[in-house]
Amino acid sequence: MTRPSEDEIQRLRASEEKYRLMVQRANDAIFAIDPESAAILEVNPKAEEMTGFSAAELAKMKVWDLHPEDERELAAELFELVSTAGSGTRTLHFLTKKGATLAVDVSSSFIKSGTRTFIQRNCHDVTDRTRLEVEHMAQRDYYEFIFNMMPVGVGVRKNINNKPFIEFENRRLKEMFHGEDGEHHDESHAEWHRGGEAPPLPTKAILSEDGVYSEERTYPDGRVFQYTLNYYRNTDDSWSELQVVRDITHRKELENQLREAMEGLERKVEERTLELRRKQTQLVQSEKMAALGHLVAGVAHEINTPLGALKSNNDLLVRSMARLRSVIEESELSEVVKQDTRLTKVLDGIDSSTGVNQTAMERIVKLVRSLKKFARLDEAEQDEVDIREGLESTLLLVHHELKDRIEVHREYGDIPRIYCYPNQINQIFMNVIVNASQAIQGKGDIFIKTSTRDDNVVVEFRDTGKGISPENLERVFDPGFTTKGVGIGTGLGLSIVYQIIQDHHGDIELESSVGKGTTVRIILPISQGGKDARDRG
Amino acid sequence: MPGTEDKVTIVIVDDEDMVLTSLSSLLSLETEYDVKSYTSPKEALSYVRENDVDIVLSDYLMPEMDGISFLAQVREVRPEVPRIILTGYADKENAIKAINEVGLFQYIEKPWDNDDLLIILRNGIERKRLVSQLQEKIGQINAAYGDLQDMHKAILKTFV
Repeated sequence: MTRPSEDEIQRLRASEEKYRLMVQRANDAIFAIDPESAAILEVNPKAEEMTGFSAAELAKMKVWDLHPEDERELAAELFELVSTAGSGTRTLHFLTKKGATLAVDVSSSFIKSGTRTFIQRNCHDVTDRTRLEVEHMAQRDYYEFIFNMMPVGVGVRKNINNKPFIEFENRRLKEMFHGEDGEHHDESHAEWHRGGEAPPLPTKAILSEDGVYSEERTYPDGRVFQYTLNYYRNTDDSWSELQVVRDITHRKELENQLREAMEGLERKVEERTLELRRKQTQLVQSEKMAALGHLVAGVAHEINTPLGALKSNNDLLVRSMARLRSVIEESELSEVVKQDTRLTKVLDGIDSSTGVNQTAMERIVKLVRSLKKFARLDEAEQDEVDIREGLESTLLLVHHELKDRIEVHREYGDIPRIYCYPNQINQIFMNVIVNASQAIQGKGDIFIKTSTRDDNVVVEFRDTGKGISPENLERVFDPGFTTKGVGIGTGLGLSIVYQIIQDHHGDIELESSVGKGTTVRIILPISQGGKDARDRG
Repeated sequence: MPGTEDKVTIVIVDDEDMVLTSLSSLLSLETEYDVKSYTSPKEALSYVRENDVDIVLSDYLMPEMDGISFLAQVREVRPEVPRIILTGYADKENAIKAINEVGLFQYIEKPWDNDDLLIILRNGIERKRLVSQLQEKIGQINAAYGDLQDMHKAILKTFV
């Protein structure tokens, strides 16, 4: 071994001095410890300051005596570790002479300096840091408490575009995905939050809208969650996602209930409106029938008086002529009259005139009788009637609509008398026949057929008219629906028919094909329904 | 009695002249009845009060007084006279009510048939005649019975 040069010695001395000064002035407590006995060999002033013991007092202590009872084991372990591995660190506490504790970061290393070996132990006072840490923890708890109080789910997912993990979930969010107890976070629960699908990456498209992404998601168990996701870029360039999740299942249910209730209401209003319109039609109808009754009664009386006089006078003329002829026959004028063609012409002319008068008046009499029968003034109450009679009087009344243009084919089958309001039934026939005649442009036919089916009488009207289109067929019973145009149809005809049939507990069948014609079948119960109708009336 | 049979008086009431004319002509052609026709029921009623009549025929609807009221008053004056109503009104219900209330002999609807009308009138008149005869016979019987009673008393007086 060569002796070190003066320079070298000089330099080493300076270095040692520098080191000694560093140790002396260090802001950490520095201990030199015997690696064999763990006894404290040397200390710097800071060590005396922090522990409260003097250098002399410390020189009598083992290294673990610096720490409270419960940390001595750890200190001993650290000592062992450094002895074998060469270095080690721990966060421990000093138990000061005054009995206080002081948090310190301990960093130990095995030092070999020439022949001398020792353990250098640096202890840094971390009281401030610990206090900050505690404060930080308290603040964290405070915010967590606030978040946990929130009725919405709040969570933070980190590193979403690489290996996402959940950094934070509040209590509500846990409840939403993990049940009431809030425990269990499985690997896929990040995806679970989003219904098992990969989360959208914070693309420009998403972020362009204030960095917020929103969607509603319905789960198989029926729950509906509304997601509001906020994205932000971390300093390390990874992306984080702030989730706000609302359970809107109940709100959705209420919305649905509300919608259904609204729809139900609308439907009800519609039904009621239709019902009211029907009732109104019915009222109009009965008013009309009553008015018609009065009218017919008045007209019949007004016609019957002069008609009675006419008829009687014509008959008188016939009688007078017969008397005149027999008077002539019995007198001597007999032959003279027979010879005089002018006179016989006058007499024959009178006879043929009275004959024509007779026929013409019979027709008026029949018409007035039909009018009376149609209105059934004397039978406004229910009665058992043969509806074929009603058909006939109705046909006579609508004769002017049909004559020359439409041929009526009667296919009357045997039917029993039915219990009904005869004037109303006649009204049905009138409306249906008039409809049929109006459907026929130019010449055509109407076939009227009566038959029985079960306990019902069926009256069928088949015309060769233009027919009804399928879309109109659905609406023909609606009050006010007409295709005939103003002045021709009231739009009430079939609606009235329907109403009357309903009152009689009957039914109506409609078949039609455009261009071929329409068949209307009116089905009326023979007895029971009619009697019920009276009870209702 | 044969004299009253020959002279049958019939009263006709209708507010329409044409009906009266028509009926009068028919009756004068076919019968020997003495026809009294009135457009006013009131005038007709005063005639009935003053004179014996055999039958009364009245219209139903008249502005001055309806046929039912008129015939009801005729019944009060002369209950034995058959009453007939002639109506153009198409209300059978009222007609039936009238028949029951006033006790009509017959109800005829306008326009009527002349043959039917003549038969009804003849029957009515016949009925009136029979009732009168019956009344007369009852009177005769009552008178005879009275005579008999008197005789009975006289006989008793004689013997007691």
